[in-house]
Amino acid sequence: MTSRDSASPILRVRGLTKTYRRRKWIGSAGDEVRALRGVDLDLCAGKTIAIVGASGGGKSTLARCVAGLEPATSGEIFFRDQKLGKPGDARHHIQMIFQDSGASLNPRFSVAQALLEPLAIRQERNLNTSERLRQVGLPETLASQGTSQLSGGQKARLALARALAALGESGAAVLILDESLASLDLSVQAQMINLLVDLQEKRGLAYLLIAHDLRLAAHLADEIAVLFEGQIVERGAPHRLFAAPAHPHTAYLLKTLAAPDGSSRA
Amino acid sequence: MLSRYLLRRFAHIAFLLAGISALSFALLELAPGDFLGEAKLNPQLSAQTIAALREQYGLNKSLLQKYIYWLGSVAKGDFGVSFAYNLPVSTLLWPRMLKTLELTVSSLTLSWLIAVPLGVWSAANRRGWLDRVVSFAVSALLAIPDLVLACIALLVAVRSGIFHSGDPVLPVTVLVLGALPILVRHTRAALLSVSAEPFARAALANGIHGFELWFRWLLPAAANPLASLFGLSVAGLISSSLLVETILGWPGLGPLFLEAIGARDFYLVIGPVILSAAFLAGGTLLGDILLYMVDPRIRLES
Amino acid sequence: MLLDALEPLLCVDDLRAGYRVGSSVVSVLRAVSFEIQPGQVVALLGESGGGKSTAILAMLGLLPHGSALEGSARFQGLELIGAPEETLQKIRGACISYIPQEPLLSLNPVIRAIDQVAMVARAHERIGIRESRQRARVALQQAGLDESQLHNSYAHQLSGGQRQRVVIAQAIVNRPSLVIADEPAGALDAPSAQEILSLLRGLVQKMGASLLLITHDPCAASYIADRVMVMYAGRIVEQGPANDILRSPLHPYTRGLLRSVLNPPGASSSDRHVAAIEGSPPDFRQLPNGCTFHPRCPDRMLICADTAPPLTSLASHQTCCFLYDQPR
Repeated sequence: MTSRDSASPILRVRGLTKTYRRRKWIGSAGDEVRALRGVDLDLCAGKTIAIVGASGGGKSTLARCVAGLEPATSGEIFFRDQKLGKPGDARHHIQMIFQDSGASLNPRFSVAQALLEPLAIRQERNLNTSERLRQVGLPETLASQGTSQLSGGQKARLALARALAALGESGAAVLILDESLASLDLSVQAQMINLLVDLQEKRGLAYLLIAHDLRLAAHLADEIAVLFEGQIVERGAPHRLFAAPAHPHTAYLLKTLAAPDGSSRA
Repeated sequence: MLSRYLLRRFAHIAFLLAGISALSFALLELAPGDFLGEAKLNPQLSAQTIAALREQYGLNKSLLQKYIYWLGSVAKGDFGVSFAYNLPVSTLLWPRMLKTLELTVSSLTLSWLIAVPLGVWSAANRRGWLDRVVSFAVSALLAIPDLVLACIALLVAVRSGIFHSGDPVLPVTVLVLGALPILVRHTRAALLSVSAEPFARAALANGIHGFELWFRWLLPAAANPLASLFGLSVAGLISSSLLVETILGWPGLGPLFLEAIGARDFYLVIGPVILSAAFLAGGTLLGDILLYMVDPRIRLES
Repeated sequence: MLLDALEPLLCVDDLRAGYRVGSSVVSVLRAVSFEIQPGQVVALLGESGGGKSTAILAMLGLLPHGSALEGSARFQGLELIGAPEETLQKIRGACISYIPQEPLLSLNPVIRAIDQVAMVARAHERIGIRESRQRARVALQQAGLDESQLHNSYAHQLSGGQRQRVVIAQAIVNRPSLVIADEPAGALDAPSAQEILSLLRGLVQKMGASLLLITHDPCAASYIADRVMVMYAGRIVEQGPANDILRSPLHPYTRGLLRSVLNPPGASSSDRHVAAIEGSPPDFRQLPNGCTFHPRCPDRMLICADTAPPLTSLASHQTCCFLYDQPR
């Protein structure tokens, strides 16, 4: 059982800013787009922070910068009090799962080969496929199947297994879920939620969840941060935030769909 | 900002042509023999006469000197001098180029006008027996080399006696038949690929079908690869008819070029090479511009 | 006439369909039967791969070449299954319109929005370009896309919600009697999803048409539907009035599905686990014997493994489950 030191955050983000230029096709200077304007975050082991906001507000950009897939224009990211230099420095400790899990799988690979891929960054030879599959609730018999034959739910689980493989067995780690559950069916999503909750309890993983589904965010997160036009305009515990939203954008996002008992109809 | 782009492209083309000309010069120089090579065998010419002629034609100059002379001649508009004809190269090339363009522009227009509807029809009817017949014919045509097509045409001309040597019908037919297979196949493939996209089925679900579906809905979406292909077609306007002209006796650039090569008529060889390169570069540029015009995704910023 | 009012707009009976895979046919739809009355909003609820889109494509004659199709689907008395292509072309987009999933993919990338709608109008009536553009403009405005600047845009210049509205405009420009919307709120965030659903319902009510909403989200169904049909593995396992189904679901799959819906924000609970349906979605190539849901059913009985459950009706609420099969 890993100890969960909730006193000091394992991931700290300070003043993260990302600006880029959108060029027209030929020659012109382009407009400046400020996707992120000084975002701060503190994430402790075993906890979940959900970033919510309307599309285009910068959620995915934030995820990519923290994951080390893109360099930020300015700002600092600290993992366990060590500042991250170039993107990709913390690959062993920070991993990301994308919305379209199938897109990151090589269709020519078998499931076992797909699991081998991320292990390359750790130079590990020990595949231990059956254990890894069991961890995410996939049957061992799946190891020899081609990745293109998997269902949506199976692909999502495999993506999780790959991320866990890259993160290694021990130590604190951060998993970034960029709308990873958005394209899943309800019953599959429910199973994935249970899996994620179990993994978090067992290994003390920290989750950074990017979601547009407010109910999912409220369900999973210890803290919700509302991202609007590149800035975090409100943050707090879910029930407090939703009982009394302070910022108009939060209130806008709260106009969610009815509970399935039909208690609020059009 | 299109103008800035065009300026950049034209600068590239200028560099390209300069490079090609230099390379062609060097390669020709490496080839054995020169214009007066066979003169040595002629018993009527003494060695002194040959030496004097060499001096006159500037054959003894170094490669660099010849190149500089040629550049100067280009600036004057002459593009060098033909030893055989004793005329500026440009004077010889111009009418021949027009004759060549007569063939190639007609065949370009005709082959595209036939290929695109045929390709679309082929894609729309891909399960029918007629399409299978047409596809087979197209493949067969693709397999037959242009040389063979030209010779068959020649045979037809000679045997039937209907066509005389000034008539463009036969050469144009050969060129069209040679170009059609690739165009038809590309069009068909482009349309098949587009018809598998979700927006094709969406159109069907909305009741759009037949001509409207294939020509007004799907063809514009498939225009992307076709625009590039058109650029390539234009690029070949000078070079593609060389063989056909020579075999069928059409007074275009082809026969002149081959003759010049045989006679080692230096500047007359360089001329068509540069011309061809210029058309190639221009054609590719045209293809890019067409792409820009035809595909709003490339043209506009979202 | 009163009798006409009782005649269902769409009557599907024992519809069966399958896709050709290699040399064999994989059966996807099995004995699907339902009715849609004029002016009704009906939700077809089920998860991906469950056969919902297949049912619609089957009715419209849009299944891929070589697919198997049997049964009956009568629209305003006209039989759709097996009808000649010309008949179906006249119906698609004019009497029955289909709003496909994923608007970005369903819109032509190189044609302007207004022209895409206008072409749908011209496909069914001999009108000029100007007239069709005018109608397209009206349809786009009704779909909530007001600015004419947007009308002249291409698909990639529009936001997700705007694209959705263009696709809706295409579906209503010819004033159909039945609009089929496939996951219209799929890619949108919650407030936009609500807007689109209300818009659809409003438009359909104004036209006096019916709406068949295909969705995997029970909340979307509860928001606008009058009746709900729950589909699992190509079969309708439960159908009835929306309130009945959503408040007192009968079939174990429906119950499991509704339990998978997360509580609305504000309802706090310490345990983050969700009551999930165990097992994986069905593989049509290897469906279980008897009731296809039984391997995943928490209430399964011995009989469920070898016999398919018959249809049981309690008033207008129907279900296929042995739990409710009356003892003889």
